[in-house]
Amino acid sequence: MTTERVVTFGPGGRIQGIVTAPPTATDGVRRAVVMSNVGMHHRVGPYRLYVDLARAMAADGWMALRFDHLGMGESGQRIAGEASAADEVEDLAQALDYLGEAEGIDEVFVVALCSGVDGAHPLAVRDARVRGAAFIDGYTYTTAGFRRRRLLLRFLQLGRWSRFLRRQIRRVTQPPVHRVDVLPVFSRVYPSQDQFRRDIGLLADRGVSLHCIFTGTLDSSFNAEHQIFETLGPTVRRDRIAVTRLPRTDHVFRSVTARHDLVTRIRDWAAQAVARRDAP
Amino acid sequence: MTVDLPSGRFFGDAPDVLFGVFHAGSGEVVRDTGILLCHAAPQEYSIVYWIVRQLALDLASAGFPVLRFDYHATGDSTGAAGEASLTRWVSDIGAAAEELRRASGVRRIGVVGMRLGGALAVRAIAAGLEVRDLVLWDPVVSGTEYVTLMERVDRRVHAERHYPENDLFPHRELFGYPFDEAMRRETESVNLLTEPLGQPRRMLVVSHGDNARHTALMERATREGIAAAHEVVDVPPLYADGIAPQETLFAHAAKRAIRAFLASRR
Repeated sequence: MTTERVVTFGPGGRIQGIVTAPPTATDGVRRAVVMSNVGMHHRVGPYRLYVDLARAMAADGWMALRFDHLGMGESGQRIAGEASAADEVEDLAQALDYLGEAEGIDEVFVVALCSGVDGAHPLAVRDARVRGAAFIDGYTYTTAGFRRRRLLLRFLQLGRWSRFLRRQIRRVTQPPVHRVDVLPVFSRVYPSQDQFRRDIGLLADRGVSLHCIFTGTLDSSFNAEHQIFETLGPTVRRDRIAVTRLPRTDHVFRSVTARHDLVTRIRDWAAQAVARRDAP
Repeated sequence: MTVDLPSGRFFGDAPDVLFGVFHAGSGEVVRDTGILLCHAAPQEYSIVYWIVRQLALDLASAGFPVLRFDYHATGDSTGAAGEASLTRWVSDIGAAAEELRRASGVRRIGVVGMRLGGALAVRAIAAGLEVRDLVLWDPVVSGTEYVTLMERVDRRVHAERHYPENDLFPHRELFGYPFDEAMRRETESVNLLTEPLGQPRRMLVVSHGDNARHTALMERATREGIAAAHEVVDVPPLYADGIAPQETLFAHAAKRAIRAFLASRR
């Protein structure tokens, strides 16, 4: 049976997380999967996605750590003077330090969704302890192929037309759904496409396993799995890059089925990535 | 000034442990009452998570030891989402009250119940939990109306999506969480205008707007000898007909009203 406990680490022990430990300790390489905040969601993730993922990975023999960055969820506030543009990367690095020093973890896979990728991506690039990364609705760059497909798909898909008509009918027959206006809490800055290409190339050369997952919410900027390779160009090694497009799934995995599917995909990918690297 | 960090902990009997966060009281006033915060149902959990935490910090800075916690199969507590039940959650409130007493050393307990958490708190009190002050924050008074509204909003949000979703069992989910027939029956059984209220000494009902059900609840409590009050505060609803669920509820006026009520001695 997996067990869970509260852990603290980082400056003054102000970062708080939950470790889910596997039922039995492994004799070989000790691996952990790390998750942190998604937008305003605390470490349980949207619809408790990260709790489900942590427990599933622990059942497969991984340690799982899900934590709140400073200033988020259950962690303490950032102290003035400590903050920097790379705050989230620093918090993640502290998590890796904790896992190495206190839990004896040898290598780490990071899982990040949406804004969570903003910290996990640079961490993976700079930190050799990261041996795998699943980026869900991470960075997308529109390509000539994307624009071509978009033009074709928009007009040929009957489902699109029927949804368009239903929306128009609703617009006439029902008042619009009002959304409460709130100030933007954070903004995101994408790396340039050149930087992204260099970063992924570096990860591929280092043998880091990548899984890029895109939901239907990103339809307006990502419409085919091979778009990631159109973005990266011909020189980047592709053998450790897996891409999954989930066009019928929303950004926060709102349905139970969608969450179960995602958890299954990530645990299968992680197991295959490890098996492939360990193969003689 | 140094502020003790809230202390996250698991409590209860393994393997079914609950996660809670204990906030030690600070400030100049030493309180003899601990405050237990009872969360909303999972469907509303992430919307109210931040403001519930803010309320805990606020009450702790006013000297109250505070415990907020996740019911079984919600948040960081053990259990898969499909295992949730109202009966279990009511007993979780009793376990959390014990943990608050143990962690703080206080004997007196006050309870703040948010939305469905208000109804659960009432049931825990009616079942014997001794509580001095009870705050019901936008409480679910009628379970049937609550489920009906959520289903209506859920259907509308679904229909607004621009692509088909991969929902194989949408009729068994509500706002993205499992919601089977047993859970529906339990939730629809809530009726705070007829079921036992227990005997808290004082009760405050906080509403985000005029709400006849809340007024009726306050009047009923008064008839039953509870010193009850009703305060309407200027905060937005979590969602409503024609209003999509917010991502995070900002409700400082409600927080201030609750703190003032609990800190007052009447």
